[in-house]
Formats: sequence, C-alpha cells, structure tokens
Amino acid sequence: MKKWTTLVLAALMLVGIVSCAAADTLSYTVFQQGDDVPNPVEAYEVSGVIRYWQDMFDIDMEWQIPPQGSEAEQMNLMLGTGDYTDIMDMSFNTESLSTLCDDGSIYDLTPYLDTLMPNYKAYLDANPDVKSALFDDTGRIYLVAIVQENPKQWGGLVYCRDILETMTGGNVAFPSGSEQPATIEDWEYMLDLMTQYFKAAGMTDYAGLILPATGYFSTGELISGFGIGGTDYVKADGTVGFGIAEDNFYNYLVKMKEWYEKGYIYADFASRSQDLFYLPNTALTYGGAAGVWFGLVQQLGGTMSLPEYGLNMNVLPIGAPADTANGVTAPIGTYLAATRATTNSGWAISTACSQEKLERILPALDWFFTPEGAATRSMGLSAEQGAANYEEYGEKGCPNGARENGSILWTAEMNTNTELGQYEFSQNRLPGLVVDYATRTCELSADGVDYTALGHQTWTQFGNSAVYPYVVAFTPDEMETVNRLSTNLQDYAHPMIVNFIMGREELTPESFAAYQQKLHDLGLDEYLTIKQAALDRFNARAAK
Amino acid sequence: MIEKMTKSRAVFCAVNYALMTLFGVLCLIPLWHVLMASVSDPRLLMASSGIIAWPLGTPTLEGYRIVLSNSAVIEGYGNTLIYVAVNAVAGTLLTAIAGYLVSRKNFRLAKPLTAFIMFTMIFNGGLIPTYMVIRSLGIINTRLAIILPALMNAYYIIVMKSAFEQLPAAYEESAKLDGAGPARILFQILLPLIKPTVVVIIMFSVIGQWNSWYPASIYLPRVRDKWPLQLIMRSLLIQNDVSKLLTSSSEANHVVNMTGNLVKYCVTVVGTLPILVAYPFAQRYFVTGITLGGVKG
Repeated sequence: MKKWTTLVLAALMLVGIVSCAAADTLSYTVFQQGDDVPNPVEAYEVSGVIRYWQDMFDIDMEWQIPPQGSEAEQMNLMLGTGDYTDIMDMSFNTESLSTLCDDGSIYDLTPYLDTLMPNYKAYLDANPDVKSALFDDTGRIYLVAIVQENPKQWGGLVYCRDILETMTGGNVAFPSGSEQPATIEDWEYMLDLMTQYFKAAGMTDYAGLILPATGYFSTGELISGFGIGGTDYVKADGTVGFGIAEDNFYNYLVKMKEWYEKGYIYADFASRSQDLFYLPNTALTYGGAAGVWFGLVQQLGGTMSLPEYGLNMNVLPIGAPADTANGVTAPIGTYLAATRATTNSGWAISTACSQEKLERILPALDWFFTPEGAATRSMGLSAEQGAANYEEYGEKGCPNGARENGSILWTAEMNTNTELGQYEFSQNRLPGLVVDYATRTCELSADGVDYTALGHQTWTQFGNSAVYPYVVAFTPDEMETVNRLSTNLQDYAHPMIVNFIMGREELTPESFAAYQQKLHDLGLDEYLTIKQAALDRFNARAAK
Repeated sequence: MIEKMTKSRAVFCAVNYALMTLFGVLCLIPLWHVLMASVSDPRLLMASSGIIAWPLGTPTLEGYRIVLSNSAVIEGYGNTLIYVAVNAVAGTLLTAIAGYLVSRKNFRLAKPLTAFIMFTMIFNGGLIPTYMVIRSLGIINTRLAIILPALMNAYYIIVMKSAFEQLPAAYEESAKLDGAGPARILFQILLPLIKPTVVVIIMFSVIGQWNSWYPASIYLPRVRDKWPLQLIMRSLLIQNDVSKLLTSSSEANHVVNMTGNLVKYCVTVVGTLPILVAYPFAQRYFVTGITLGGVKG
C-alpha cells in the first residue's frame, strides 16, 4: 500500500511539474508578412534562430502570414475588427502609430524601455538618427524596430562599360581624365559612343539613357549633378527645396532636351509610365540595347550577359555627372538607402497581448539588440549556442555550418538556405539590429569583384546630406495638405517636363519662369512650409 | 429549309467568317503567348517584348517543375476541388429550392422574399460587417467560412425563378393530381425540364468557386493548408513578380532570379488549364440556359 501511495504521489508530482513547465511557455500570435519568403510559415517555424530564441525565453510563436498581395487589407481588417494578433508586423500599416495607440490598439512601449528593454534603449540613446525616426513628437515609441547598422545602397545609375571598350578598342578616354564618367562632358562622350554602337549594330529600338516617364528621377539621380534634388531635398543651408521648381532645373532641362534631340535619350521614354524606375524597359536593358539606366546591384558585372548569344555585358555603377559648365563641381548627396529605421519596419505589441505576455516578450525582443542577439539574428547560431541541436544546422553539416563563436561571419545555413528564405527573414523581418557583416566569399563574382561594395561606394560617394528623410512624421492635417499639394504640383509639372525635353513645349528662360510661377500658384510655398516644419521637428527630436 | 446562297449572302458569310475567325484568333493570342512564354528560356524571356509565337531559346519545363514541386499547389488543388464540388452540388440544390419557392404564384411570401433577395444583389454589408458575422458564427479558419457564404447566390436564384416561371402550370397541376408532393414535383418533374439552366448554374458556380481567392484570403488567415488553388497561385504570382525578386535583397550575391518571370506564366497555365478544358463541354447549354430564364411567354 505504501509503495502504491508513493508511486501515485510521484506520478502526481511528475504531472504537476510537467504541467507547470508547459504552462510556463507563453504563446504569441504574430501577424508577419512573408512576401519574399517562399514558404514563410515553414521558414519561420524551422528557423534555428527562432527556435533557439523561443527556447531561451520560454515563448512560442504562432505565425499568421497573410497571403501575398493581401497584407495591407489583412492589416486593415485586423485593425478594423479588433481581431488583433499579439504581435503585429507594421510593414503594411498605413495608420499613424500614435493614433493606433490612442485608439487602444497597440501598446506605448516608452514606459517599458528602462525596465524591460535596456539594450534597445541604450542603442536608441546612442543613435539619435534612429531615435528620431522611431519616436513621435510626443516622445513616445511604439515599435521594436528593425535597425540597419549600415544599410547598403541597392541600386543607382549604371552603364555598360563593355560598349565603351568595344567602341574605343579598350582606350576609353573621358574628357575629364577620370576613370569613370564624372562630368556632363564625360557623359556626352559616353552617350555618343553608345549611340554610335547601337546604330552600327542596326538596332532600331535602343536607348543611350533611359529616363523615367516623368523625365527625371524624383529620387535625385542625375539631377543631383545639376546641384538640386528631385522633388523634396535639403539644401546646404538646411532649408527644404523642391528640385523641379529650382532655378538650376532649367539647366537640367536644357541639357536633357539637347540629349533628346541628339538621340541619346530613349525616344519613347515618356510612354513607359508603367515601368518601375529601378526596372525600366527590361527588353532593352536585358537585350543589350541600353547604355545607361537606373539599375540594381544584382545587375552589376557580367550577370546580364548571354554569352551563348554573343552578348557580353559589363555593367558598372556610375555617379551623377557634375554640371561643371554651370559651376557645379560635384553632385549633391542624394543616395536613397540612408535610413536605418522606420516606423513601418518592426513589430508592435497589440493590446490583445496580456500584461504578463508583454513583460515576457519585450525582454526577448530586447535580446536582439545585444551584440550576441544581433549577430545571431543576422548571421545564425554559433556552435556555442548549440547550433547542433537544431535540425537544419545538422543538415547543413553542423558544427562546420555554425557561426564561429563571437564571429559575425555567415553560417553555412544562412549562406545556402535561400529556399526557406532565412536570409530575407533575418535581414528584413525580425526586429533587432541587423549587423554590418563582412563580405562573404560567395558575394564575389566570378571575376573576384565585390560588386555590392563597389555599387555602394559609387552610389554613395557624394553622401546623403541632401536627402529629405522619408521617416519625417506629419500630423494628419499636414499629411492631407501635403498629399493634396504634391498631387497638384506633380500633375502639372510632369507633363510640362516631358514636353520641355521632347520639344513639344518651348524651353526658354521666360517659359521656364512661367512654369515656376505656376508651381507657386499651385501651393508650392505652403507645401515647402509644412515640409520644413516637419523636418525641423524631426531634427529637434534627434538633438534631444 | 435550305436557304439559297445568293451573292450578297455569300459575301456576308465570308465577311462574317473572317471577322469571327479574326476575333477567335485575337482571343487565342494571349493564351498562346502565355503558353509559349511558360516554356521559354527565362533569360531570353526577360529581354523579350511583344507577342511570343514560339518558345524563346531551348524549350524548358523548369517553371512547371518549380510550380508543381510546391506541395501547396497540390494541396490547393485538393481544397479547390472540395469547395467546387460542395458549392456546385449543395449550392445548386439550395438555389433550386429557393428559386422554386419564390416562383410559386400561390405562395404569399414569394414577392417579399424576391424583393429581399433582390435587395441583397444591390446592397451588401461590406467587408468588416461580413467578417464579423462569419467570426460570430465561429467559422473563421474553417472550410465552412468558404462554403457557407457561397451556397446561395441571389443572381442564380433569380435565374432559377425565371426558368420555373416559364414552365406551364399544367406540369405541376398534373403531378399534384397524381399525388406528388412539392419535393417530388421540384426534383422529379420541374428540374429535369430546366436542365440547361441547372447546368449553367452549376457551371457558373464551378467557375466562380474555381477562380475564387478573395474569401479565403480574408477568412482563412491562419490555415494555409485550407487555401484554395487560386490563392496559392496568386501568392506565387506576386512572389515571383520580377520587381520583387530584384529588390528583395540588397546584396549582389542575390542574383536576379530569372525563373521568377517564367514561373508567372506557368502559374497562369496551371491555374486556368483545368477550367479551360472543362468549359467547352458545358458550352452548348449556355445560350439555352440563360435565355430560358429570360424570355417571357
């Protein structure tokens, strides 16, 4: 009898312990986009990093991945019906975070920074640019953000060097004496050779330079060589400018008109309004019938070649040309990927999450801002972290596949597991610090060139001081006015710009002055005043 | 009667045939383009513009391999077949009952019910209220969320009602005299008489459900294993949009995935081929089926 009683008591105890342990694990539902991950649920569930992280903090994630293309609608539906998941990826949120918080949809995380997220707080304090991007005007923060330590520029102007080599027999000599085209004169030399090449090849549909359908890059490429930005930009004195209304824009238009008449610019550029600016007319670019366009880092080098069809392309990055004839010695800095964090990139905690769960998840997310956590989320598990315990690391040849202790080199798992989209998830989806990693051997092309570095260096050589940060926050009223004025201004300006370039509209100092006046009449001054005020508030937050 | 072929009639017929042939070719060109693109060399496809008459480069089935090796596609086919079958059978049955009911002249509520049904054709609750109804029924993330709302379609009920109204009352009266009840009259006497209409409604239901992805995207957010084929196909299409593939990573080592462009075409073929094949078999019923309900005698 005594034995049986002992056995029963022991069994009860065991059950108790097991149930206590089970109850200790907290489950979280996560609304997480997975648009660039082939099998998102599987990818997130089998990820060694995620499992390691969950084990460490006794938490369990239940992923709700919206169908591709329906993310924004799902997000709105969730917010509209109050059917929140515990954690929400805010990539597709269009509502202001402070409004969501005031409406009782998400938590204000500010009170928890000191106690539950010391590493996140320390990082924010040490990085004013990130802080100003994530805090609102009232000093509140709502997001555990994805923060890029050193974002790489993903695209910019590119040119086909191989055409120049072919046309000069390898003796490319730019008028400025530079190795790469650096001035308007250099570009004219280059575009002339390219046009000759296409004509000699008997091509009827070709493009020396592909301009967007609006006639200029609103992000500032090319136009920055004329000392102005595309639309919004910050001048040297800190004031906000509207590039296509500035005096120097006249010089740009004159030059583009001249190039268009000479056949340097793609004749049909104005009709390609459906093309993405970073992916213009692929029939021309991939068909070897384009000389200069806005390209992507993936297109650099010989990746676009078709040797079996005699097409050997050598695509190189190129900076904007300085309009030296009009006194511009160097382009202004307008590279795009300078923003390290935004309020659309990270996780918010919804009010569906209980206080107990909130207090567990915040320290867990804070871990991704520690050196170890940041390296792990970005590069995968190390052997010391027990990578061998996680299936996919074993499959990839663990322990050799695991990250070396303390290293920020990529693991074999991260290198090879593109099918599961681990790369995209770790880089672009999981909150925390994305560490700046060393170049991997596999990043080098067959010719041994690190094109990621080359592209970044070329496209960012003039800095980003002229970029109007797109994380600048507006009040709802300001936003409404800015959107309305922006639409009016661009609806008028874009056809005019195209007409100026194509010669359909007379381009003289007088006609350009009339064009500028019309922009002012359409509310340009009010537009710039609002933009300036928002920028000033943004800068003030960074200074606090 | 054999119509005499006059000169003018011959010209008319020739022009008619020519125009119809041209129209047919115009309809076929996009299908042919997609089919040829789906077996083309992906790199050459990237550099092509205009209509593709023949496969570019060496024909390849790589795109189909990628699409069909995705287990979700097979799962999606299974789910779609379930939704299509249940909707076609149960939906048509319920539509027939509803159509029969509102077509009876001696049924007092026929007119108010018809008006009620018509009202839903013009006005609906909108996305969020509908979602909240489905949620309050407790069927979010279940197959019922797809099946139940699609069972009744106001337009089909009206078509069915009109078809029943075309039939002479004598059929029903004779059946009643022979002792048949309403169910027997409906299923054994009247329904066989409006077979073309029934076939058209079945076909419409099948096509509607086959192409349906939106309700699943709303009501099945957490159960991907219950997603219909079209939702999976749509996801694959968007995922393989070349613009996304090119910008999904900022790293040069993430070379352009040319097959993504190819996959888009393969997804289109895989998603539409079964229904394209099935369509002609029901075609002969279409004109009869639709006009049967639309002509007043």
